[in-house]
Amino acid sequence: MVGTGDLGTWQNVCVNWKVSNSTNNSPSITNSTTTVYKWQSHWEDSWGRYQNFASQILKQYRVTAEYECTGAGLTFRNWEWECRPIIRTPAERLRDIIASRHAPAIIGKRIAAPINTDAREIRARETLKLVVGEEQYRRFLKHGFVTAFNRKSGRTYKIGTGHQMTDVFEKGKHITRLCVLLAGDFPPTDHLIVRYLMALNDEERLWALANKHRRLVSPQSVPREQISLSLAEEFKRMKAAG
Amino acid sequence: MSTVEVTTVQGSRLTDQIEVPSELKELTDLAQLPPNHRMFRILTRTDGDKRFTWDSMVLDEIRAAKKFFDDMVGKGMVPFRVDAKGKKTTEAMREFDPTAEEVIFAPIAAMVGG
Repeated sequence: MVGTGDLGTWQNVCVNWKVSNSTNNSPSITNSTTTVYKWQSHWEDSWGRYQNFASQILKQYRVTAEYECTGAGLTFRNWEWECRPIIRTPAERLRDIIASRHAPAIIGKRIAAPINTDAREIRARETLKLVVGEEQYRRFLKHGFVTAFNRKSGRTYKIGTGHQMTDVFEKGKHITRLCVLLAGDFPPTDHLIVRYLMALNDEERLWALANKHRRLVSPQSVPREQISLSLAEEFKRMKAAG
Repeated sequence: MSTVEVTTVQGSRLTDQIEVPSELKELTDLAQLPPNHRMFRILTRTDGDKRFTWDSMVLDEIRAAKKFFDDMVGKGMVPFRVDAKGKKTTEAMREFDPTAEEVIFAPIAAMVGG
């Protein structure tokens, strides 16, 4: 096996491979395969062994080459391969930047409201249905939280059950998290009902009672503070750099 | 005579018992609200949501409901009006209104910062 190129260190590679039967000068089989790998350089295979791309990619193409040889009625003897990094154009890189800036910044996961057979909790959910309405209640069962929009302050509250924190959004931005709950053994949904009613009717008291926590920054999105150039400037810079 | 436990001091576990007038009937889990009846829903620590009904066509029951309403508000429970048929509304009440289909008493005094 003859090979060139540093397969292990490149993340995006194009592999060309060639199989020849050099002993009897039979025709060779050539192929070119583009494989793009991103973000990771190692993984565990199905047997739990730690593999890197260099070994795995060659194994994969060798099997393909053997298969094609057999199909062509040839004896597999030698195979050669070479790989080179894929050069991404400025337009492609710009597309990546735009995608990273458009990453969702708010919701990481949603968990449906847990099924509860406690009679107190069942009654509490009936009350919740009455308070928030049919549509919001269905959303609560699906996602595990309700939202309350206070027209006076323009703030939106994302309220969960039990001891979950309440997320506060203003003009679409997450501003803080409030930690406030009912002292004692109340059903989890009762916490939600009271927070919901207070968010709509007595917001000042809710804020006064709650412990506030600073806002979150989603790890998926690029923080706004770190974006120094506009997209047009970024494209110019990349074009100049080649 | 049944009683309802309410938190009396903001942020504490101090509680008080309020007597429920005999004219108000407790609604069991599977029972339906009878016609012309109104309902109080009370969020309690020990029993979860307790539901009491009263007939809006009987003067004695209206009086008993008003007394109970005033007792609850006096102990720090905050009443919210809710329309029937699941129509959402979360208006806080200042005084007793016999036309309110359902009233939820929220234990705001039991709220604490986490």
